[in-house]
Amino acid sequence: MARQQTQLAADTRTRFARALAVTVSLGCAVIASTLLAEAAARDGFSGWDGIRAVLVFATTAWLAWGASLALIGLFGGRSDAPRPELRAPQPRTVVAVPICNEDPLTTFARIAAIDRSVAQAGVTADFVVLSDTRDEILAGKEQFAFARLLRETNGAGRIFYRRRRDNTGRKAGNIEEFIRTSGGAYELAVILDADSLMEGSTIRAMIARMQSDPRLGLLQTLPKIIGARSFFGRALQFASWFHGPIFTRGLARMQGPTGPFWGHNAIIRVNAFAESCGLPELSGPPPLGGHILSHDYVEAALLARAGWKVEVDETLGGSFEEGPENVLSFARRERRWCQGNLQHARLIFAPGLAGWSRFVFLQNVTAYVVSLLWAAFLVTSAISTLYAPPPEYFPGPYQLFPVFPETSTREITLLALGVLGLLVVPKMLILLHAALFGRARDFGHSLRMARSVLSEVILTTLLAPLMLLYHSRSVLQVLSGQDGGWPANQRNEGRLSLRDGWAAGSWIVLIGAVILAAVQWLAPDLTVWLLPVAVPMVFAPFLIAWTSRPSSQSFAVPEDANPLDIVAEFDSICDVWRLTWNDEHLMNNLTSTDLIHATA
Amino acid sequence: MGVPMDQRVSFNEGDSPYSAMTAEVENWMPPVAPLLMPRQTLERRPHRAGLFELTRTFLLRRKA
Repeated sequence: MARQQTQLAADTRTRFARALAVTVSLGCAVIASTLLAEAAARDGFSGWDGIRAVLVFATTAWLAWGASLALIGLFGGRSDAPRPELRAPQPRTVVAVPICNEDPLTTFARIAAIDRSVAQAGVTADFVVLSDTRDEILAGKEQFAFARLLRETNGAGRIFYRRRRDNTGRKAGNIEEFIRTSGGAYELAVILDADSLMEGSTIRAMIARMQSDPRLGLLQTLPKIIGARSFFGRALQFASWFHGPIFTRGLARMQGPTGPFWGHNAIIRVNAFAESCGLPELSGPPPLGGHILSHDYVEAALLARAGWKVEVDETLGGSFEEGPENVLSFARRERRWCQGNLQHARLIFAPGLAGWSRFVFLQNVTAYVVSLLWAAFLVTSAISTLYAPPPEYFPGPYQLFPVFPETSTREITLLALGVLGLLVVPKMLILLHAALFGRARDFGHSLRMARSVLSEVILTTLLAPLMLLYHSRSVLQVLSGQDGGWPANQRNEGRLSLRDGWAAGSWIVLIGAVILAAVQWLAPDLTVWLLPVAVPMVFAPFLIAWTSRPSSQSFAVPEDANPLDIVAEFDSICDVWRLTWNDEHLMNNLTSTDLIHATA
Repeated sequence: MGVPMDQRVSFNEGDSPYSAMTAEVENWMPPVAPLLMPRQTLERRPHRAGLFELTRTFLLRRKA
C-alpha cells in the first residue's frame, strides 16, 4: 500500500484535468436541473418535478462528463508518451491469444500475420493460443489450423496451443490458468483477442516501454476497428479512427497512472499481474455474483492497488480489432458488458483500491444505468404534465381581463439545446480540430470528412432511443436476476432483413407506439418533444435492417486509401489458406476423446 | 493434405502406434513454469459472517 501512495500519485496535469471534468459536469448538471425546476415552477412545483430535476441532474452530468473527455483530449496538450528504444537483452515475451468458438482459419491466419510482422520488427516472441472452445468439432478444426500454422511459420517450440477441459472463469480464468502454469517463463505478455491484429513495430514499442519503466504494470493501446463492411459497422469504424484518439487522449490525461485495461491489445508485466490479479468469485449467484465478467477493469484496479502503473497510450498505432456489423450484434455485446459493469457496483468499496479506481467502477455502472434514468425522466415528465393543475385565466373574483399562464417553452428549449450541444459540440470541435491540424486528408478530405461526421451524428441520434431501450432492458434483466452469461462473439454477421429487424425490434415498435398514443391522448403539448425519441422507436425494424446493408463508400477512414501492412499480410495468408483449406473430411472418424489432447 | 486428426490428436499413453504423435502433441503445450497467483480480496467480509466466525472459533477453542 505504501508503494501505491508513492507511485500512483496523479501529477498536476491529471489532477487539473479531473477537477475540470468534475466542475464542467456538475456545472452543466446544476444549470440543467435549475432550468427544469424553473420551468416546472410555473404551474407549481410538484414532487414529480423534484424527481425530474434529480434525474436531469444525473443524466446531464453524465453527458457533460463525456463532453469534457473530448475537450480535455482536444485542449489538454499533446501526449508526451516516451518512445524508448528496445535494449538487449529483450525481456522474454509471449503473445497470448485466448479464443472461444472462433473461426479457426481467420484466427490462426491473424496469428501467422502477426508472427511475420513481429519477426520483421526484430522482436523475439512466443505465441500461445489459449482455447476455451467447447464445441468439439470446432476444437478439432482449431487443431487442424494450428498444425498448419506451425508448419507455415516453422513455429514448433515457440508457438503453442492448449485447450482447457472446462472454461472456469471464462476469459479471465483462461489467462489466469496460463499464468499459473507457464507465467514463470515470461516477463511480458501481449494479450490479444481472436480478432486482434497488431503490427510488430507496435509490439516492439510496447516491450521497450515496459523495459524502460519497471513500474509500468500494464500498457493499453487504442485498438481501431478495421474490416467493417456494413453502414453501421463503418460508422463505428469511422468513430474509432476519428473520435477515438481524441477521447482516449482525454481519458489518458484524466486517468494518469490509474489507467484502463480493455482486456486485449495490451501488454502486461506477468509478475505484476500474477501477484495482484488473481480474481476471486463474488459472493452470491449470478448475475451480480459469481465470476467477474468485466474482469479487465478490475484487473487494472488491482494492479493500481498493488502500486503498479496502468497507462493507455493512444499514440501507439498499429493496433486493430473488428467491431459489430449491425445493431443487434452491438446490442448483444452491450448486454454482456452491462452485466459485467453492473457487477462493478459491488466493487466500489473494495478494500485498498485507489480512489480513482472506485470512481471508474461508478462510471462503469452509470454508463448503463443512465439509460434507465433517461427512460424514467421521460415517464415522469409525462406524469408530471398529467398532474399539472389546469391554467386559471381569472384568478380574481372581479377580474376583467384574463391572465394567461406563463409559458416555460424558453427553459425547455434551452434545456433541449443544451443536451443536444453536449452530444454534438464535442464532435464538431473534433471536426474543426481535424480540419485545422491536417487530419482531413486521412478521412477523404474536408468535405467528405464533414459529411462522415454529420452522418455519424445523425445515425447515433436515430439509434439512441433504440439503445436506450436495449440498455434499459439489459439493466432490468440483470437487476431481476437474469444471467445473460458471456456468450462467444458472433463475428462476420451478414446483412439483416426487415424480418430480422422486426423479430428483434417489434417490442421497441410497440413501446414507441404506446408512448406516442398515450402522450397524444393525455398531454398533447408534449407530443412534439417526444417525436425525436418515439419516431425512431416506431421505425426500429427498418433502422436495424437498413443500417446493416453493405456500404463500402461511406465513412472514409485512412485504411481505405492506404491499406495497412498487417491487414494486407493477413488477407494474403487467408487467400492462400482458403484455396487449400479442407477440414471437413477430418471430422468423419473424430470422437470427443480424440480432441482433448492438449487441454489444461 | 494434412495429418489425419485421429492420429495427431491421440491421447494414448504408453506404447502405441501413436507414440510419435503424442510427442508432437506435447510440443504444442507452452513451457511449464508455474507462477503463484494468489486470490485477491475484493469484498469486505460482512459483520454478521465475521461475528459468526469469531463465535464459532471461540466455542471450538473452549471445547478443546
